[in-house]
Amino acid sequence: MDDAKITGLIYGRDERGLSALKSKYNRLIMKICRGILRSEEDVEECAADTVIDVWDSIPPANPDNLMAYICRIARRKAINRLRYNTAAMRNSDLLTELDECVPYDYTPESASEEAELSKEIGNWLQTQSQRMRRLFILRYFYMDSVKDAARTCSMTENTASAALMRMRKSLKNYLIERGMFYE
Amino acid sequence: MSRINPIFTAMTEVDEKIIAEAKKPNRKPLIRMGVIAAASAAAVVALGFGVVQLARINQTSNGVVYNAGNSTNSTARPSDVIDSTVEDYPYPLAHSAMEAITGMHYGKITPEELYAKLNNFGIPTKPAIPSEQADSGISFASLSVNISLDIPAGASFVSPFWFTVENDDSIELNRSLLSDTSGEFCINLYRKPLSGSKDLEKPAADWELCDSMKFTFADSIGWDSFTGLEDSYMYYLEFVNNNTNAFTGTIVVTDKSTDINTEGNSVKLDNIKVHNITVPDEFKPVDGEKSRSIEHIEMLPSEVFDKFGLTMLTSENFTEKLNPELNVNTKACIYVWEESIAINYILYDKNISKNFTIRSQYYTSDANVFLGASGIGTETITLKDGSKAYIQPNYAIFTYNGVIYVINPTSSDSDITEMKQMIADLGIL
Repeated sequence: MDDAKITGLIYGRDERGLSALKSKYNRLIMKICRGILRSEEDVEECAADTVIDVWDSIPPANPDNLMAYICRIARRKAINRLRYNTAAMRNSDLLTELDECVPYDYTPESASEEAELSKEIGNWLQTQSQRMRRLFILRYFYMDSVKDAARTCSMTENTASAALMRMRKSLKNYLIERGMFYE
Repeated sequence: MSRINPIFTAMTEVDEKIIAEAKKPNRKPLIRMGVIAAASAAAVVALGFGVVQLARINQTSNGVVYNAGNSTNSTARPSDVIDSTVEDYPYPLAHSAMEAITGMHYGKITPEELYAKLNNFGIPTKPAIPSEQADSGISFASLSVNISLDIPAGASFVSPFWFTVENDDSIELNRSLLSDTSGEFCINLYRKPLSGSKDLEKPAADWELCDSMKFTFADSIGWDSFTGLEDSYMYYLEFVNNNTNAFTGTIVVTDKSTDINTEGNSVKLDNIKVHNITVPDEFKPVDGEKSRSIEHIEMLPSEVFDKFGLTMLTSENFTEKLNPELNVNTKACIYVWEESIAINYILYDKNISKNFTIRSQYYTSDANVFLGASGIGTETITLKDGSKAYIQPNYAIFTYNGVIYVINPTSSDSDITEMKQMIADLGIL
């Protein structure tokens, strides 16, 4: 079933939409949660919460892109759970890579600063070529391995690693230039 | 509580379109002929020089890759694949195609323009001989070439393009190589008289090695130049990996002596005058500071310029805006440094119905000026005073009457056409 139809069914409070959503996206939701959380129990709970959130938020929400909407909710859920837990994130190598982009002690001090950071990252992504943007999102949003992201973008793993490294450096410079933080 | 990288967290809230775009299925390349032609050109060049192995083409379900070297598994690629279609994404198509061929990044061009450019760059859209009328290869006046390398141990790779220069030009190679090996990497510059045949399919016995540079991976990031190039030759580059391991990296090739310099991705402006400016007392640095920036000022820009005894660049096509509306790129209205003064202001272009932030910068002493403009995707236009303006989407930089100007749209995006229109509206084009 296509996304517009699923959204339409959920919007009309038709539970067939919920079933279709679970059937189509549960694996992706689980993958995202699993990339962040270590406990399988937490992963399953977050995945279930994500589906409930989608059901509760549509309407009034009527997302243009259902997949992105769901992934975003799943990510929020998993990150919140991780914050609540004391365990380290599962994909710690990915965080280590991203640590190159920010000073060690940098933390946004308010929700508005967090929002500003997201906006600036979005602006920076728009300065990248479509292919590089895709690589970056696959790695750092969907948490694909470098190998998988490289394959999706049809490049070698080495090339992808090098490109990601350059982009991390570029992002850091971009954020410094915009006064998000200082080196 | 675990610390989560703030970038990772913030990525959750980036635009849904960007998130969705990444999961779009790969598309079949419609530009395949162009790339095949480019690869053919590379292959012919490689064969003709007799210095590298035959370049081969691997065609995959997703597109085309360049291969070079002995092993069928080895790759040396200035390209990977093209994954857009003409119908859906004319810009990324052109963009990807250019990237696929030489790593060049261009502004928005139509497929027709792309094919024309391919021909002009000595990369025929059919495996044919470039005509004598076609300019022989790449002009470095308005672009830089970004070559991604992934070269197996002991293999070589030639640039899939050839280029010409103005007399006594230099080209600069800005390298960023990633490898854990400690061997040697070599870049060779070959040349061939332009008065000779441009027929790439003939044995190229007249190509000769004219310069070479070698470095180890201890110097893996940095830049060097080939200098003293002549306009009577065409040139190409060869990259030789004399290591026991493969390596990946990037070489950015730019024309050093004319307009583009990629050191720090900056444009060099060489048409700058020294200005004799008296700084009003109210704007002078205080308390022994060497510089001062003023972030808010309740004055119209023209009033600020009057205070400095300067003339603001504007025309009847614009209305001026109060400076506190400046965008994030130009936070302060006025900067007073030891060697220069910058005044940022906003003009509303009545023809385009957009606000633009303009920085005008006056140097008060001699300076070798590089300002932050990417050389990638830049178009060049000539202004009334003969100087050149470098234009990208959302960005323009130029020197006019000895003053440096940097222009950005204040909020919404402006493509190259709108940026040009804005400059034309200023009456300086």
